[in-house]
Amino acid sequence: MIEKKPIIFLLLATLTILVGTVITMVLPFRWINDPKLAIASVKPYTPLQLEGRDIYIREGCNNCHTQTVRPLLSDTERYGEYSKSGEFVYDQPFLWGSRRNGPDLARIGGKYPDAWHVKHMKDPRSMVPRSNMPSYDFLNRPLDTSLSEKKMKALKFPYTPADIQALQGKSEMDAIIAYMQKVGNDIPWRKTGKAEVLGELKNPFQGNMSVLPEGQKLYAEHCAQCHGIELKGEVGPDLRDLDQPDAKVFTSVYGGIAAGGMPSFGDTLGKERTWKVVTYLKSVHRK
Amino acid sequence: MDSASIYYLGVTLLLFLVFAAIVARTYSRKQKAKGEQPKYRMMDDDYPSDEKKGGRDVRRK
Amino acid sequence: MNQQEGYADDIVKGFVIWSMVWGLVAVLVGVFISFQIAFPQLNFPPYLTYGRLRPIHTNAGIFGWGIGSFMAFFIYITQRLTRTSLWSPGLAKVQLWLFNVVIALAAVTLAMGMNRSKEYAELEWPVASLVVVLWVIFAVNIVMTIVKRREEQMYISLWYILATLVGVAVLYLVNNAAIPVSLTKSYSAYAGANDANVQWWYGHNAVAMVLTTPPLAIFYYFLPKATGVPIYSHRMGVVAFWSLIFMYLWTGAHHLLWTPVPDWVQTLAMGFSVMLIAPSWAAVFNGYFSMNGQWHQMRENYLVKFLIFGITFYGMQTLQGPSQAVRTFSAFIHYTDWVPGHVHMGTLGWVSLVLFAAIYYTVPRLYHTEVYSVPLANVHFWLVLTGQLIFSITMWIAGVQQAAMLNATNPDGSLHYSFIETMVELYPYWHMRALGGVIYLAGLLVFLYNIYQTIAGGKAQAAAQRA
Repeated sequence: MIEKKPIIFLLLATLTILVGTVITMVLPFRWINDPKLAIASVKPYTPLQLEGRDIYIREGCNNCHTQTVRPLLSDTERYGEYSKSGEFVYDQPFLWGSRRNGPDLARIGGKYPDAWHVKHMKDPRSMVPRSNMPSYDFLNRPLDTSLSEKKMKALKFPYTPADIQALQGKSEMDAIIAYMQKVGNDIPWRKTGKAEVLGELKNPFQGNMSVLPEGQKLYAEHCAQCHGIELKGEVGPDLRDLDQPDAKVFTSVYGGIAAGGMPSFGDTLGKERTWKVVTYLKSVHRK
Repeated sequence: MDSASIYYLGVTLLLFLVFAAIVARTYSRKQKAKGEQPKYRMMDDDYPSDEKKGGRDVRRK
Repeated sequence: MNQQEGYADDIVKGFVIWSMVWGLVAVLVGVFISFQIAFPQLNFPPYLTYGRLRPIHTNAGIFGWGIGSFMAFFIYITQRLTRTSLWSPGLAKVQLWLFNVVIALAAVTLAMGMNRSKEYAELEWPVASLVVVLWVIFAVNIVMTIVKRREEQMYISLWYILATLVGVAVLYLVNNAAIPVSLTKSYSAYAGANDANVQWWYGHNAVAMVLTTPPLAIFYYFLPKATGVPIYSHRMGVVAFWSLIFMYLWTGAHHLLWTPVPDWVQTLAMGFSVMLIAPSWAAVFNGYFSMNGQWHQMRENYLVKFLIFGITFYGMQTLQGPSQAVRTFSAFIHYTDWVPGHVHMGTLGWVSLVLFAAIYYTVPRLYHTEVYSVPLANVHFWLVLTGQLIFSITMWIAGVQQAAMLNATNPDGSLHYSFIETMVELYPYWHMRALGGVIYLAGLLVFLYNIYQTIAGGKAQAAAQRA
């Protein structure tokens, strides 16, 4: 019997582990990445984006950042539209990760302007005060393009000689930012999924000086990285003497300005704190 | 119930029968002494087998 | 080969010693990266960042410490359970060299950023190919030893050993399939959700075939040896064996709940994960029932203390694991610190405690001496236990707290906290975790010192006898 025949035993053990393997790992190949689930707007990576993705892999970014938004309120409200299988068909390997030491990045593309990323990679704590992300200043070095063409061929991604030529003079920083601006941005979720603010937009703190210190504190934490601590502007524009109604300022902060690269802070601040920031903003004038 | 459900039910029953057969065989009266024998023999294995120790080369059997 | 006893035991010594070396590396790196999370200034780019060091920590732990000592004890146990010497001691010597070369190469290439990004399968294809060669050499040697055995029936440990050999081979080959671009760069052969499904089929069954079946083989062998009383039921072990290796392979997708992997794959994974409680606890009960009338040994026999605490953590692990595999609970704690807390109960609590016992049992016998100090072994026990409990418990609390904060909403339905607001609250827990790691490291150093002195004592006695 089998407990006396090691070779037959080995075969039986192999068969046993193959049952679950075939059903849950081999068979799904029939359905996952089915052409029917393809999303036409999802495009392969360009040579620069692919190099950026390889830097993301090399630095082990996936050890702290996931790239899947689950269809759960706490994920979709925080990060955006939930992830779909068709969005990942060009991802070899997948980079969904397993632990969020930092935030999910599945919808990072288009969230911040390039300049924000440059500053953040160089010194994460200058943008997010208590972040524990390492500094990646060293990525400001020339990109090694010796394998770029081979990589595109290996993955069968379309490219033109001009694309390869365009890599000349790029830094690793350019590449990884180009990659991050693509992640999750191939489906038009920002336009369709943007949260609308319902009801009348009336500042509950209008003229209430007591909220200014808190508004200033929130501004320093969330806004000063791009607009400067004195509101003089840096990555974003000068905000002194804002000549806009409170409701308009609120919408910009709460929902962001997609065209201008201004991220939305509604999920971060919520309504009440957004109004406090608005109240503070409107109180600052050029001397 | 559609055909797929009946099929899954059949596979589930089959797997359960295989499991029942393994349990029945392992715990059959015939197997009792034999099935528990290795746990006693492993207590005394600090020296390789020789004739006196009662070990035997199964290949030569 | 040790002629006196007829078993090839010198090679076991080699694997035991080198696995301890890599185990120390794994814990040192682990403690360092736990400090990096709490104090980001400790990242020294490009080589010494958390992103590059974490794979070194997991690879040194699972493959250096884990596989290294499993190789030692598979060779030790197989020879004894078959009452025959190793098929080829020469091949085993090659295996030891190759093993060390592979682990060292892994550490160096990972630090240089050559990384496939798939968890526990990070090694680039040239190193991964060496792993395959290593595993084939090992498997052939063990299987041939079993084939030429002098003991008719195979004890349950041999069953787990054989399942490990074939299981790891299948998993590793499939998940490492790659499209090479150069010697240092390759892409996964699978894309997107497929790649994810293959990866976690591999990832979770690395837990099965590396962190479960080998320690079970070792536990089933050394518990009776340490207590002097046979295992409670060999037949229960047999039934549990088939159930365990059948069910584990269905559960990988519980790492992918709520992701774009098909729902039915997730549901199967969830169901089978819960069912796995049965065979897992069969091993736990087998351990406990073997102790009937022997519980006083927990006080008198330090080996038993390691083994019974080990199997107890296995029991906790196999209850906690299935609960995490349920969709609702996963939605709450997945991606938080809860999961590292869970994993480290398994690796530090279950696997390592059993391995410590096996090393304490075998090393004095291999060197024909007594263990250097039982009191030191007790100090070691309490230090590693305390360190591990601090680690796991703080991480569970941290995970639940962060999950609760991430889910908190305002009356209007918007979220109450931004991600960073939930993260900054974790710093105190991360300090505690680093402290737990330091205590664990201290325990490990006591262990290494004790084993070093035991070996030195054995060698001195042997020299005195020859003189």
